Amino acid sequence: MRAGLVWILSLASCPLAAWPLLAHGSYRRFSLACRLGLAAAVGSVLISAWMTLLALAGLAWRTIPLVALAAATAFLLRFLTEPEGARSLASARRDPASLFEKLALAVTAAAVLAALAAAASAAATSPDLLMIWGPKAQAFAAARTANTSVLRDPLLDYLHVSYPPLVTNLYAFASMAAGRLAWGAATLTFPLCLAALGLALPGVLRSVAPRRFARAASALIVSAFGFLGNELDVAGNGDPWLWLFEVLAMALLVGGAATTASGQLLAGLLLAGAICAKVEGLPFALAAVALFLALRRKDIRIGSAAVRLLLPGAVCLGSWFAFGATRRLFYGYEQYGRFLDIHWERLGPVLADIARFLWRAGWALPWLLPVAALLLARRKTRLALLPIVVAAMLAVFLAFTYLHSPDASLWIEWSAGRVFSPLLALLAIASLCREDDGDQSESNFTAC
Amino acid sequence: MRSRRDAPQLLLFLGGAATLTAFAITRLPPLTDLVHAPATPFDHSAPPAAVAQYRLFVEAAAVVPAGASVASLCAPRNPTCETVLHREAFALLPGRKVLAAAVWDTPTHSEDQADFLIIVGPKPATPPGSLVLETPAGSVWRRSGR
Repeated sequence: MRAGLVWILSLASCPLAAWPLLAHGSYRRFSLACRLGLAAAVGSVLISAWMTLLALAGLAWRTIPLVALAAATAFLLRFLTEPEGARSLASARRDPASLFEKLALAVTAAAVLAALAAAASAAATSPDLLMIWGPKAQAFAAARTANTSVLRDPLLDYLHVSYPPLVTNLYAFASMAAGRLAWGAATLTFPLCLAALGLALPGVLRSVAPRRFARAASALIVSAFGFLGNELDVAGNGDPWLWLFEVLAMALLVGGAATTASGQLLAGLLLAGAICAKVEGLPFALAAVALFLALRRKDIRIGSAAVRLLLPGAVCLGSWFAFGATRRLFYGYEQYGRFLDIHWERLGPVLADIARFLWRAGWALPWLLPVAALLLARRKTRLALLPIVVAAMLAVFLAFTYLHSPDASLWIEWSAGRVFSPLLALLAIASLCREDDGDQSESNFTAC
Repeated sequence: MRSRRDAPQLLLFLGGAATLTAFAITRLPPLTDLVHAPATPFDHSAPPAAVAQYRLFVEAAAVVPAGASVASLCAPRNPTCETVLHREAFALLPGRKVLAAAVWDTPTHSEDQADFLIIVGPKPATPPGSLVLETPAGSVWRRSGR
């Protein structure tokens, strides 16, 4: 019990580590709750990044120095942001919340509590926690580095040797703090990520749409993830982390903050989190950045924006691949089949299986509701294309991946609901990208 | 006027969120199970046999000393089952040398070198050593002469 408590509480280091950055004036446009949620996400990226860099350098992990290094990095990153106090103050006006907005917040809180109940009662635990994430993190924690003997062992290749390291690193970090991997506590990362998303998303979406829309859309996204998390058993695996990073990054990219250096830096750090949380984070980040640069080229300096958006991810993933290459463990991601070895004859069955398993998760309501919201949205702007096209590209990428297997039915059954889940949030965010009706109190930053 | 035009989308967001949250709540275990801490992280998310296996490995961790070699077998023998058991043993018996009786559904016969055997299923007719633990899911044996 005590180990579990220490394990989960040690993750409070994440918001602490990133707070020096999120306390900067340029982020005060966001509410305190929003900055706390963002700090939790950014802090986890910084701690994991330092764990990978130290592993690359051959230095042992220690919890307190890791948090100190992450906090120092967060402090140094302040110098890459611009002082924007005046604009922040303009957006700091707070009107009292309407009953509708209070209801939206209440539903968000209820969704997080339901996720907590599911995880705490062992009703949402992912089998991958026991098969992949947990043992790998446990071995890393015991070795106090990315454990090369485990990664090199051919009998343990099911651990996905080259898989991006963020979730493993964070579980190893918490395990070092607690003295062991606390399996039950690891499942609580599902409601924890959902809570961080619930704290941050309404505030980030405020720079996209009026507050009532931001809160209502956040409620839908969080409750959809809460439902799917329980239905698809994601507690303890990488999906909740990916949701946190991808959704916040996309919400930032379509908002006004993304035209500023500080907003781009924040989005870049979140994209780095997505890239290092799961393999599908990389195509998401590349598509999102490419479309962002194309669609918002008139609002930004393309070169510097590209650097801020891509450099954090390049450092995080580059150091992981450098670690693999210098230890002769891996030189890229494992193969999921030869690139052009595609079973086109399986296209129909693959699409049918995907539809069947999305339907099985609550009659596909988590996806159909955002689609309906998108269709209902009035006067959508060109920027709505950013999440829509990224969602479409991800869907094609995932279907393309499944087509590499001669029979992907089983693979689709246990993964389709999870890997397609970020699409629902992208569509919900797209439905908020609409022309300004003049009722957006943060219109200084509104570009949608 | 503006509010009226926005109403369908706003109601869809909030109504959809409330519906999905209600769905999530209906999928929770009964209240009596919610107020008690689960015995394993898989109590309500894996088949009962898998939960029993998890408990067997956790209890085996108390009797298999650190540094000892251990292999896990199915009774009757089944390389597909033993591939999964090896993965569970590696996860739940840290600090032990976990030998794989099967890898990717192919027998390895490495269990012959193990100090301890964890047998999932009924007790074998011929004891492979001295019994050190027995649970409803299986048994743990110290190999003779080791």
